[in-house]
Amino acid sequence: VTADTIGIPNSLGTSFDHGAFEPDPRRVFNAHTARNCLEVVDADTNRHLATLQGFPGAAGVVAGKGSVLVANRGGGSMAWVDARTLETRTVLNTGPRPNGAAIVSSLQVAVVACIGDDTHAPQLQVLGLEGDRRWSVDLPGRPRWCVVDAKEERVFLAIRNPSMEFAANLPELNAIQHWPLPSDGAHGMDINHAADLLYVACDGGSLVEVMSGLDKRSANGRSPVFRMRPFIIRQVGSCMSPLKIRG
Amino acid sequence: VHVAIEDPGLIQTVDPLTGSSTQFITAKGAKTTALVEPDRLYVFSPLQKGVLDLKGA
Repeated sequence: VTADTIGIPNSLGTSFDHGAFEPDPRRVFNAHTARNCLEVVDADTNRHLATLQGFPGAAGVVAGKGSVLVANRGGGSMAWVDARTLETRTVLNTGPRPNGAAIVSSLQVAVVACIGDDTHAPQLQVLGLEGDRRWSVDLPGRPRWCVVDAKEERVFLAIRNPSMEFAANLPELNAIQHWPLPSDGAHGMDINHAADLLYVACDGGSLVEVMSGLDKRSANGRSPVFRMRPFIIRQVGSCMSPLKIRG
Repeated sequence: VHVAIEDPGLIQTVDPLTGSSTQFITAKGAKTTALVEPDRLYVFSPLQKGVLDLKGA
C-alpha cells in the first residue's frame, strides 16, 4: 500500500466525518463537520474539486445513483445533493442530531438515524426524497451507522448501548429485530451484498461478522438463526469508526 | 474489511476468509474512510489537513 495526501482547504484543527464515493462521476464527498460544509474530491485527478457551504454539522454522507445525502447533525436536516451538478435538490427535516444515513434508490427514500436530545428519543426515520412520505420508529439506544441489503428491503443499524444490531423492513420500519452483539459499542457497519454478510466494528475492540440474510427466513418470527463471528482487532477502549468492505 | 481506528490512528484490514489482518498507520483523529473503486481507500485525516489516499487497499 502506498499513500498520497490530498489537501482540503481550511483544515487546520478541523474535524471530518463520513465520506462516500459516487462512481458516476467518480467523486468523493466528505462531511467537513467543523466547517459546516461538504467537500468534493475528484477521484480520477486526486484533487479537491469544491467546498459546498450550508451543511450545518455535516456528519453522515452516503452516495448512490448520482445522488448524495448529507445528514446535518447541527441542523436537524438531511440534504439531497446532485453528485454531478453539486446543486442541493432538497432539504428534509429530520429528528434532532441526524447521524447515520443510507440511500434507497429503488424507493426514492432516505434512511436517517437520529441521536435525539433531552426531549426526543433516538429515532430511525425513512423520508421520501420527493413527496411527503415519512416513517419512523423509536430506538432502544444511541444509533451509529446503518446500511441496507442488496434488495433494498431491509435496513440494518448499529446501536451503541446496549450494543446491538437493529433490523427493520423498508420503508415501513416494521418486522423489527434486535440482535445483541458480543462486543460493546457497536459503531461502524458495512455490508457485503454478494455474500449477504454484515460487518460491525465495535468500540470494544471487535469486528463482528453477521450473516444477515437469514433474518427474513426465520421460521418462528423471533430471533433468527444467524451466524456471528467476532475478530479481535484492538484492545478494549479503542474507537472503531465506519468501516469499508472491498469485495 | 477496512476499519479506521481513531486513536492512535490506523487502518486495520481484516481478511474474513483467513482471519488475518494488517495495519497501516495514519494519524490520530483519522476516523472515517471512503472506498474508491477498485482499490483505493481515502482516509479523512485532520492532522494531515485532508485526505490520505491509500493505493492498493
